[in-house]
Amino acid sequence: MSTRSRAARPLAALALALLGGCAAQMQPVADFGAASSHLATVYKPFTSGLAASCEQRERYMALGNPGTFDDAAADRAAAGKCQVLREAGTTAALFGQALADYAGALAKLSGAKPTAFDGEIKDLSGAAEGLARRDGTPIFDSSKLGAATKIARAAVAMLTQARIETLKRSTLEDNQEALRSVVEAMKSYAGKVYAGQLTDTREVMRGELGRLVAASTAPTQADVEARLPWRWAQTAARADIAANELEARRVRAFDKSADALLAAHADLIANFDKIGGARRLELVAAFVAQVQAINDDAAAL
Amino acid sequence: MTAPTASDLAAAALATPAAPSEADTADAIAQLADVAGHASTVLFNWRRDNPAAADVDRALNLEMTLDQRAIDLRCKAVKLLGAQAADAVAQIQDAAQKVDAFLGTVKKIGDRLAIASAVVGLAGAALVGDAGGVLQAVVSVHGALKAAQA
Repeated sequence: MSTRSRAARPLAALALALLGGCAAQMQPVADFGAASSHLATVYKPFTSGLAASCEQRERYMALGNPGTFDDAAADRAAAGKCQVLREAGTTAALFGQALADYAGALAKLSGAKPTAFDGEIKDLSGAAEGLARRDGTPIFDSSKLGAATKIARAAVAMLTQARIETLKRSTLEDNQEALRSVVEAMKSYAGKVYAGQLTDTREVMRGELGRLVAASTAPTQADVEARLPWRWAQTAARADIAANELEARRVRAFDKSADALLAAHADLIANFDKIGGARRLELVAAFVAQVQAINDDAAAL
Repeated sequence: MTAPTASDLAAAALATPAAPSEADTADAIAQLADVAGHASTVLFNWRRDNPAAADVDRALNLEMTLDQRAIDLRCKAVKLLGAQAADAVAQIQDAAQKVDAFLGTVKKIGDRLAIASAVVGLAGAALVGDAGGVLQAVVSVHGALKAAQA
């Protein structure tokens, strides 16, 4: 073994070991990015749901008003009255978009490969190997060339990885407070504004369902035929109420998930050097699964 | 106990707190919206269950007023949330853009590294048996990288 090879091996081994340590830190940040992205996805329907729920309430109320009734006209009137909430929903959507962007940035950082330049290094190494003297013997010893490029690759990766790690940590630290503000805004929107609208709409629908049930009572067999419209209408009203309750459950689950996400972010910063301790990510994953289960309920409706 | 009239319900609804000021939090405004919305719902259900009541028209008018008030307050709450969180939204979106810019820079660094890695490769082959030469070539990569990142 040459002196050069003996000198190169420990350095390459050290470089690769350090790289392995850095890679181990990637996964929790990647997990966090994915959990944030899921949460933003769960939140998104809430933003259009505010105006939709308002319109539904207005349509139900219109059913109970005196005077002429035109279904299409009632729809248009409801849309007009709730238009300001549609615009407000656009503002609320910005919070979720910001969270999604942040999640995407963390995912990109976590997925950045320190060996991104492997191809170029290998190409150059291959070109050098191809150079030959006039007699056809290679100018460069391919095994030694291979060792040198291996060290070069490790050195490049170490420095690039260090930069990515530094950026990842500073990204987490610098944006902790901003993330908290954005997530709190999302929680307020979902848990206070949207939940309140859902409740108002649900109470009107429940009142109407009660009256449909009362109107469905037929004292005699001869009265049944005339009560059929009220009896049939109950199904649609119950479905609307069930959908409303399902959405309210989603909102409550979101609130818990958002708290867990903030705790996980703080944990990521606190335990960045011993990142395996970010156990709260498991909570985020559990809540995301809970929301997913609720969505599955919805699909079964 | 006698059943409440529309006047009773109206009095209860009007007893709700005054219109919010700019200093009120979004949550407080959302709470006021809930009060207005709930009062509107109570009036609606009362009107529907008491169609022959003498003051049913008044109940309808007040119900519509409270309904509109709930919508306006919810809209105000969201706008206030947007104003309060505007800086935070801008900051984390800026952070996301910085990451994109950084990763773009890494690609540019890659172009310059091609030259540095060539130096290492050639030096490593040319300086056969010279351990110091290989290490020196590695140092040159560090230097090139730092220069590219500066």
